[in-house]
Amino acid sequence: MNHGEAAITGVGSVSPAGAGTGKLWDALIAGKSLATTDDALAGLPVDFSCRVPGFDADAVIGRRLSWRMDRFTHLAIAAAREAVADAGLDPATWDAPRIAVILGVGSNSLDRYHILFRYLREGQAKRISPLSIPRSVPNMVAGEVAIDLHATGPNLTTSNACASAATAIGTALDLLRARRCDICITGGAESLLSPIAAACFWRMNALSERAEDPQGASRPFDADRDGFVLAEGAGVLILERAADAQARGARIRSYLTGYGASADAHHFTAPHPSGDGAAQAINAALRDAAIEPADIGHVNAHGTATRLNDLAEARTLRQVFACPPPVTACKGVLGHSLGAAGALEAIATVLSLEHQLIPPTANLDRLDPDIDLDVVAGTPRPARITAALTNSFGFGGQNAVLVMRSA
Amino acid sequence: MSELYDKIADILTTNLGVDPELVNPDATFAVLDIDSLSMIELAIMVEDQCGFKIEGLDADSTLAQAAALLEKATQQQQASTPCGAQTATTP
Repeated sequence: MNHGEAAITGVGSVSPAGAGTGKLWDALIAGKSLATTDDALAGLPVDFSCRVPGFDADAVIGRRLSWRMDRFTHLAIAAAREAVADAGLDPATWDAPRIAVILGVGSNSLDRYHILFRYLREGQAKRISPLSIPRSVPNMVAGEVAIDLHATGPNLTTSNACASAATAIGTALDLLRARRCDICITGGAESLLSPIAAACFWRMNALSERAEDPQGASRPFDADRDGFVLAEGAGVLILERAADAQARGARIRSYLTGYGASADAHHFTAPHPSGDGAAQAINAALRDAAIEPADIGHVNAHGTATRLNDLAEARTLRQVFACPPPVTACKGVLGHSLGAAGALEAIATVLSLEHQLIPPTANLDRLDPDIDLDVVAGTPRPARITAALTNSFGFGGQNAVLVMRSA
Repeated sequence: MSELYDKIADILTTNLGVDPELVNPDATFAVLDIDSLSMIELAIMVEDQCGFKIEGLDADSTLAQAAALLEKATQQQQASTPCGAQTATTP
């Protein structure tokens, strides 16, 4: 039995393709990586990333607000405003106590920490801004979006590494089912492109080191993949109970029908090699949506382009699906925006359901022979999709899976 | 108003995004919606740009008072520098 589905009535995104969901879809369909050399990372062995181009926070949200926030919050506010407008909602008139904000963020923003460390080293603690904490802590994203949109209902930030946004969206579905709110502004945001963050991920051997060819660096499921490319972004979806959305005459873009979560309980960074934990989450999401594996027509994969993730994810999909449906991995184009990735990929899944089109996986020139999946590459593939699934798996073994169906 | 007032007004409008139309010598920080944390941030910016600490402000201080305090700090610091140098060389 389905436990109740949510209508997705609005989406908003700020991604390495730029601000706006139209740009996100165009870039995904073009299937070319957006990675470029990053001046802020100059001197590091990995000096490229997928930044949001030309995003002027002062122009978008105004200097009065922007100066007191770090960039991940700027991105979240821009995406949330787009999603609310897309849903045809007006914060001036909505029932604020019934509007929840549930957003995922992987980590503290480390944007300015290198400056703070320098002040401390130089014995100048008094130069540290009193806004350093409120600017950088993860929960500020949900807090500032609520302030900006005057949403006074439940407010929560989920932090499950790369599964943060999918966890937020699944939690939002649960809150709607429990009638703790009527509308959820949900998704995720991240901007972790500081030299400190890049160096830390590089030392984990998580990043592609293809510095001579940034555009070819993020290659999910490819035999020559060597890690992910750091990215930033924000994705926001508006969820409402289906009956409420229909009653107000909202345009329903698709439905979120199921959510499954699990923990590998195996290793602090590596996925379980058997894929058992991820399979558990997928099966839970399918049960929650009350559908069978065979009903799924498309999988938007986590697909980070690390050796271990892609292999484990492929095993997982082979384990769950007798015949896995066509798969794509948005991180080939967008890089890995960590806590935002699950939201951008959920939005990509909404768009695939709307357009009945699966974007290609960038840089997939030669499928890893150990990966037995139908991964879409080269050009977008038209497909009849009534239900789709999107995976997010985080360091720490946290797995979150969302099931959607077309409107 | 003084050059230091202009500096404070510039930081308020350029760095903190306060509406320039609201900025005048009689405006208080409360009226400009500059809360206590923002005032500390403002003081750090002033020190970074002018080299002098501005202390003793509260929400009801006006911009003219802030400029006067900064003026005083400037004079005190300039006057104290030779004394400090003298002390440092005294055995």
